[in-house]
Amino acid sequence: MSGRDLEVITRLKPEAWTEREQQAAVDLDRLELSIFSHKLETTTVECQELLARLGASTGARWGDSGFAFYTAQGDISVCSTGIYFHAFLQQIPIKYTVKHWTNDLTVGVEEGDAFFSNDPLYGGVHAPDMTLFVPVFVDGELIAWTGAVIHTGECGANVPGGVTLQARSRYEEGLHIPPVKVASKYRMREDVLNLLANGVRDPRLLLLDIKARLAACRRGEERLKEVAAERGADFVVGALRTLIQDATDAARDRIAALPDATVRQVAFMDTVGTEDALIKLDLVLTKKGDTLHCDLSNSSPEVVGHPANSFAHTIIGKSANFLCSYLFPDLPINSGLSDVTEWTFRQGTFVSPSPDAPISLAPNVMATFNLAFSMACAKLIYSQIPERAVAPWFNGFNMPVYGGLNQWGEPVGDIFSEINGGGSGGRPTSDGVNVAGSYFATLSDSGEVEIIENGAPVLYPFRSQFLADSCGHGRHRGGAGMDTAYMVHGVPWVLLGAFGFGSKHPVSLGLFGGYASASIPAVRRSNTNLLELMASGSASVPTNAEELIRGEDVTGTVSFQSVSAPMQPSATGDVLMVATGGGTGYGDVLEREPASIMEDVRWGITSQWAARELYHVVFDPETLEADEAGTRAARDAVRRRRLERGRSLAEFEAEWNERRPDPWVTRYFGAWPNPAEAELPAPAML
Amino acid sequence: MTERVRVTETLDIDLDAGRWTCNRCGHDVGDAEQSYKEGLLVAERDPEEVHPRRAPEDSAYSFAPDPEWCRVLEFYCPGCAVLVEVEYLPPGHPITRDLVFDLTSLRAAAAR
Repeated sequence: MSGRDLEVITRLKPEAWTEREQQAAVDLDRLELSIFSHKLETTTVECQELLARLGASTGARWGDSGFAFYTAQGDISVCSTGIYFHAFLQQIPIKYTVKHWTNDLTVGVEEGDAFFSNDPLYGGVHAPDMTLFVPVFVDGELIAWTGAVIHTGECGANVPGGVTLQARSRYEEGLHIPPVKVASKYRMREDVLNLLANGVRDPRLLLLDIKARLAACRRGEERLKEVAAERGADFVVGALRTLIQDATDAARDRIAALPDATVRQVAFMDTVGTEDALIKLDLVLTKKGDTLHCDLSNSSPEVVGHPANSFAHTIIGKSANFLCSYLFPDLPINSGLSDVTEWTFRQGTFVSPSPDAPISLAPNVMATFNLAFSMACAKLIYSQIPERAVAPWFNGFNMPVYGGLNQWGEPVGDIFSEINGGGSGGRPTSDGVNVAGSYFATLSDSGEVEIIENGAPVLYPFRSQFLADSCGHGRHRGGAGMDTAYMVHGVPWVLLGAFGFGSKHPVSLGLFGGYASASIPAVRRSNTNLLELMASGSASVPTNAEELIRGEDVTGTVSFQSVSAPMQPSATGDVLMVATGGGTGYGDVLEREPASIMEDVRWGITSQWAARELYHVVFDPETLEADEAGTRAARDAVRRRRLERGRSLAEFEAEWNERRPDPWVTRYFGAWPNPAEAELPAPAML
Repeated sequence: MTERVRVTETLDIDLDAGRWTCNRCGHDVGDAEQSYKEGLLVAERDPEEVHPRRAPEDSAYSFAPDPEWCRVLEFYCPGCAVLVEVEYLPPGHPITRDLVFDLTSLRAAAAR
């Protein structure tokens, strides 16, 4: 076998029951199944902890990882909730292996084997997402698989750190390894490891993460064999498949209880990597019966020569975020949940590009989809389960990246972990949570500063403050984001950049009248004297972005960039600020209690500007005490202004629909305003 | 007594009359077979009225959306002026008819 397999990537849903599985499940005891499920869930957490303890990358140590048990056919049955979308995606490389290597005389699948893959075409999101999986044999029969995935932040792309904004094709995005055997007879193949390590700048990172995955997989294999020894292989085979069916059945019941509806949501990306440009994701979500149908065919064309694309299967995988977090939080997380969704893509769009398309920014594209899907689902479910109709979390994937030699002379390249410190969205009855975490990686952590500083050539000037107005405001505001800066330290220079979107057009939108979160840029202040200020104990040492940007005693020049900031050499003392954004707002700002707003001002979550100009609170700027009567009067005046300036939809649209952005802004957009109305350009191989 | 189902933070659907209704003031917002936006008032705002600019005037990035790329559309109840919905759109991009229920199905769901 050689060449690409575009069939296997369509098999995200559970495979049909085999005769073996059906027979094994006939006499399954429900109580025993429940105990089995709990044991495996506990083991997945144990195995993910192993990844954190043994791995070296930021992703491994701070939880951008996942672990799962699979059926012999390759469907996920039980998984840790490390990263929800991998719960839907990681069966692809196993199904590929089952399909192509099981009966191949030169490869085969045997007890003691391990396989590695990082090709985004086969289930990763982008090349840094690397997976390893092992078959579980009992008495010579393949009964299951265990698998572990980690974002290993260096993959040999055209810049360090695993995330390249400059890729023109997949051939500039580093290693692309389809499933390949890396261990046999319980021994790793040093020749294959050597091959992989030879392709990256940070072989230590790659190899330690591979071995961490293998250790986790072996632990899972051991635990599953314990169950098989106690209860028999039939029980394991039947139980793994039944858990998937249970999830499917329960998910269908949950969907069927919702009213039928059509919900539309558009979302925009404002970068294609190294260039600002608008592209559109257009979602039509149709709920009918027990199925959710997502139609994305009116989305922008494939971005040729830039990495702002995502394969369709990774978009489907992203639906796991809202489904697992809010619609099915009480159901088993496995591939059975994906059975309730149906999809329509238009081949040749940036959400369903050609196999040769560069896709390094797939996380951004997926986040754009997540925004649209979360908004649409929240509107769909409010009438039945309003408590789960939550405004979106920060969606922007603001991810600083570094690469070069660290203070120990070692080659390094990775992301920083503050990506896991975003705010959550406002809720129907309460605010979002400040620095809540990562909406897509529920077991992740934003990392310990001292540990990070020990391995990366940076010093954090601050990382203990909320970024004011980073959240979307509303009746219930989003949780605040985290204010963070990185100063080059201990080396002459290093490459620093960032990865994200939303600096021009918001990436995270509010719900039911709530506002979006801030359009966060990357801010550089070069050639600073911060180290001297710190050494002297100066009171001028900045403690947040505002002070660092405006600090008069701090030397150096300030520049504002898109958060999609290509890596550039940065010298000792240069500072890069990339805040993690806040969650979005819920409901009308005029309905927020003035006392709550002033409390937010005291905490630095809301600025005095926003309290006055947005919430229309009348307050004493010294004491921060609100004037209740004055506020009521001010808000009544605002309501009168709203009625004065508001126009009927028809009158408004007659003028509005004649406008359009500068054509340069929409040069990758496709036909304005509906990309589906024009032919798509032929894909190009660059 | 008509049966209403609350379907968003501020909007109900009157199942008997098949009408969108503001649940803050009771204003009739229109035919529930159509978009609720048909019955609201809409106004355009510069995003810098909503998001504070934190960069010099000549900077292309500022923590606020770029007014050339993005406009904020606010939808108000004509009765009480409550802010029902906000859309962030590139100038001239069609307004989204975002939510249309199958009323028969909504009645059945409400009955459950």
